[in-house]
Amino acid sequence: MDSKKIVIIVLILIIAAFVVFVTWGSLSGEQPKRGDRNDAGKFVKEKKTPPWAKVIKSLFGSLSKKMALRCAKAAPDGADYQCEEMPLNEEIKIPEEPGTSFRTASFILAKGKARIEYNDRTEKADDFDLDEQEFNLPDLELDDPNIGSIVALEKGGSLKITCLENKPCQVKLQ
Amino acid sequence: MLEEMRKPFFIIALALMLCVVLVEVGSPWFMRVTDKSFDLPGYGIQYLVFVDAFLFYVSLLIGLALIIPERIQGRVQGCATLIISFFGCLGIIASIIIAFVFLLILVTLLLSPIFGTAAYLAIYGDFDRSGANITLSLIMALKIAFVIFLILAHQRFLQNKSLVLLTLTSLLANLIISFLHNFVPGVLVSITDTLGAIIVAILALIWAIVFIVGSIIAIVKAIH
Repeated sequence: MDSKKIVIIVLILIIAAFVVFVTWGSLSGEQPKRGDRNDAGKFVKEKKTPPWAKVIKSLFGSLSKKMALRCAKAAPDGADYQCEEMPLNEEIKIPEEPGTSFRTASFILAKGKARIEYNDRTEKADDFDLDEQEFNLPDLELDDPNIGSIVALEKGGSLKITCLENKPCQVKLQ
Repeated sequence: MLEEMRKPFFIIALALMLCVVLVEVGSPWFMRVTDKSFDLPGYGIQYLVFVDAFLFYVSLLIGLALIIPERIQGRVQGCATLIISFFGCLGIIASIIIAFVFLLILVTLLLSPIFGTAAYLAIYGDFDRSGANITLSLIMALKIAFVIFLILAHQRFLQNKSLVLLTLTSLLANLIISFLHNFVPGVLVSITDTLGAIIVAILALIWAIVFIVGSIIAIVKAIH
């Protein structure tokens, strides 16, 4: 077949595929929209997290920036978490880190039941409903009920971990 | 071939490719953004410029042959291509690292329930898919017009394998970004857009390496 015809066929195929993609995206019901805390709960509850995102995190998650927090008992050498025990019933300061938009910290409940409360000082945290973050562990709605995370914005804030039901608890920092 | 070329069509093709590059560079201004204080998604369209800048450069070299004597062009082309490809290669690698770090931030936020997920949805959940589709459609239309005018300028451009393959890569890159914007649930588009940017940058990196090798061979031949 002459090369001009091949080019025309390839161009038509590319245009057709492109039109299908754009039309599909425009007509699909699920358009991108800004979500809040309730939408996040719904997202987690409905297990919408794609498996490929988990693969990316498991492969490269160790490269992401860790939030440095004070431990009550440091993790043993070679452990895949930072703190064996987090301080309980006291205020833990998360310092300001200029130039860092986000830092996440994930807590693992090792024993008992715990409540985690974090207040962020960054002004814009309020705009995204991230100024007051609080949750209990275990949280049966999560994929892993014993792991919960907070997000600290640029200016940091204060964190407090308390045990629930007057029973001892232990929380690790991932 | 150059004597038989229909120059007006070729100049239009070159101008169209320049428009593609300019639209891609300026794409952040076309996109609606929620909060400019955070690092923003939309790398996908911007990174198309890496492939398209090479396509523009190759077309420009053909155009320069119309005004610069072949003897001088032959000497300069190898060195110019080597320098441009080398610095292009460094720029692409740096851009891949930037996009990769951003991808990790997005994925870490999404997979840190409940407040990481909430932060992701609040800041990155509303990717401007319509704006991106309009920009991608404009770029695709310009690229198709470029191909048509290039063939109208001279049919023997179809025999230039590197030009044909680079043009195909450029069109394919457009398709990849469009697919990744439109075939995933809305809230995940920021992540797939960044993923697409990395894929496109890797394609451009392969081309940069091909150009570096090609130009080194050309320089060595010229010396001997």
